[in-house]
Amino acid sequence: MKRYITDEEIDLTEIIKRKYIISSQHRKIGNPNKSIWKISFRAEVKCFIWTISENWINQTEAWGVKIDKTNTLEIVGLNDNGERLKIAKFVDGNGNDVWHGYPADYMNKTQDRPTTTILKVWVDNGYISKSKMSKIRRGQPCNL
Amino acid sequence: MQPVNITIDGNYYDCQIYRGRLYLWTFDGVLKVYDWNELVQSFIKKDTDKIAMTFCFLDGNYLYKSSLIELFEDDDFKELLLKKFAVVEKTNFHLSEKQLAKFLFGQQDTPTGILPTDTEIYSNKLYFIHEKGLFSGSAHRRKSEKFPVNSKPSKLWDCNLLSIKANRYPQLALSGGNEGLFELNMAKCLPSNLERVEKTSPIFQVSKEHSSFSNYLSLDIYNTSLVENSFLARFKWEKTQDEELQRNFNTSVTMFKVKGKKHFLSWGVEDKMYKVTDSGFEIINYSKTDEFTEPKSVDLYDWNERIINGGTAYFGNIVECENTLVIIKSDGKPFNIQGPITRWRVYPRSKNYENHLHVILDNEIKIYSFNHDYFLNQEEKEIGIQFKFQNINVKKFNHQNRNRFDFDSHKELQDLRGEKTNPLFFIEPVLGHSVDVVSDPPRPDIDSDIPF
Repeated sequence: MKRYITDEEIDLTEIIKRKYIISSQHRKIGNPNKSIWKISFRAEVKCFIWTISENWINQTEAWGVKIDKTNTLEIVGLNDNGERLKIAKFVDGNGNDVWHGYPADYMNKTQDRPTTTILKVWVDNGYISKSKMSKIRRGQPCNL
Repeated sequence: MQPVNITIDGNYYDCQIYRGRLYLWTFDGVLKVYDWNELVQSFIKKDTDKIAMTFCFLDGNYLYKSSLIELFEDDDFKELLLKKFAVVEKTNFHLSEKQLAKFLFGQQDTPTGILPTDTEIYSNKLYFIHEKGLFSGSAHRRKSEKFPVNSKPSKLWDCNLLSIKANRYPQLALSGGNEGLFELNMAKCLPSNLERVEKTSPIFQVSKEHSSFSNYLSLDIYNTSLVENSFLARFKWEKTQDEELQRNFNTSVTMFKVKGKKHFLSWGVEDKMYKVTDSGFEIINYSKTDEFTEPKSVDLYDWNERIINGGTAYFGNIVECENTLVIIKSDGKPFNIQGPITRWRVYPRSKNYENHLHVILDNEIKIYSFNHDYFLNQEEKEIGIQFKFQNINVKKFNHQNRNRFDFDSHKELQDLRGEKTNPLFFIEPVLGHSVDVVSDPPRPDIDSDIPF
C-alpha cells in the first residue's frame, strides 16, 4: 500500500485526472485560522477522489463529505475553536489541476459554504436534509 | 387566541408574498406564482366567515386602524369579532398541489437556474442571492407577460452573500458573513462617508465585521453575527451643499453587554432590539427621541434547544431553535411549530400581510395568521413591533412627485415624528388636509398605494 507524505504531489491522474497534495498546514494543531483534518491521510485522499468522481465541483473548488454505512455524515476535522466539521473543501489553488483540501468551516468562513447545486445533490442523495441545506447556505448552525 | 393557518402541500425552498400574489420556489427549481386573493376566497364558504378570513389573510393592516381602536373598547364589538376569529381558528384549511394549481398565476424556471439563498420583493422588483451574487429583476408583472418575474435578471454584484433585507427606504442590507455588512442604496442622494465597493451598482461597505443577517431600525441597521459580536450601525441625516438630505454613516454601537467568550443571539427590528437569554429576552427600546432604554429582562420561556435564528413581527418574536420554531406572541404566550424547518418568513414591512408567518417544512408550507395583537395596547406590549399612528396636518402635497409631501423644513418633519427620518411617508387622507400618517416610513409598494 502506498504511503502518503504531506506537501508532496500524489498522482491521481489515472483515477480522476488530477494530482493532490496533503497540506501540512491543515495537519498541524495551533495554526491560527486553519482548520485541521481529523481523518487519516488515506481517508483525506479517498474523500477527494470521491468528490471529483461525483463531480461536486464548481470551477476550481470542490466540496465533499465522508459518510458511514447509514448515509450519516462523519466528522472530517476541527476548526481553530475545536468545533467539529463535517464538510471537506478542496481547491485547485493555481488552476493547474494540483489540488489540496481542508475541513470546511462554513459558519465562520463564507467561502467555505458548498454551492447550492452541490448541496442539492447531497439532499437528493439523502446525506443532508433540505432544512440543513438552507441553513448551510445562510451560514447558520445545524447538527449535520 | 390561536393563529389560523392554511397548509399547502408541496416541496418548497423559499416563499414570498407581495401585492396579492404568493411566490413559491419549489425544491426542483421552479418558481410558481399564485393568486393569493383567489386562493383565500376559495376557503370562504359562508358570508359570516368573510370578515375574519379577510383580516386573517388578505388585509392584516385593517384592524390596526385608529378608528377601530375605539370600537374595540366596546366589549360587545370585541367579543363579536373574537367569536368570528374563533370559528376560523378551528377550521382546517388545506390544499393539495392539485387543488393549488387552480390558482396558478404563472410559473417559470427560477431565474438564473439556481435556488436562491435569500429573496426580497421590493418596489415591484425581485432581489435574490446565491453563490453567483446578487441579482434583481422585475416582479409583479402583468398577466400578459410570458413570465411572472424577469427571467433574465441583472447581476448587481458578484459577492457570495448570506442574507438580504429590504428597508422601507430604498435600501437593501446585505450580509456577507466574514466579508462584512454592505448596503445597496437606491436613494437619489448617496452616502459620502462609506466606501463604494461596486462600480456599476450603488453598493457600500457599512462594516468589515462579520454579518450573518441584518435588519433595519428606522435609519439604522442592526447587524447580527452568529459567530462574533453583533452591533447597531447608526446613520444620520446630513445636508449636502445643494441642501439635499444625505443619509451618512455615523457609528457602530454594541448594544448588549458581552460577557466572556460565550456567544449569544441578538437582533433588532424597527423599534426594539432583543438578546436571547436563558429564560427569555433582554429588550432595548429604540425611542423616538433617538435614545435607547436600558436593557430590560423578560422571563417568558426556557429554551431547551440551541437557538439559531430570530426575528420580530407585530404579533411577536420568532425564535428558531434547532428543531422547533418558537413564537413568543406579543401577549407573552408561546406557540410552537415542530421542525425540521427549511425557512420561515414574516412581512412586517408589507401593507397587508403584517400578521403572516410562513413556515416551509419538509413537504408543505404553512401560512399562519396571528390575530391577537389587534386587541393589545400597543404602547404597553413588550414583545413585537409597536404599531403606531399619528395625526398630522399636511403642508403641501407634491403634485410632481406623488409619492411625497413637502414640509416647510426637514426640522418640521423631524419634530412631527420626533425622530430623524426620511421625508417620505405612507399617507392616507381622511378629511381635507388632515391625514393619518403611519409613523413608520413607506412600504416598498408605495407607488401604487397613494390613494389620490
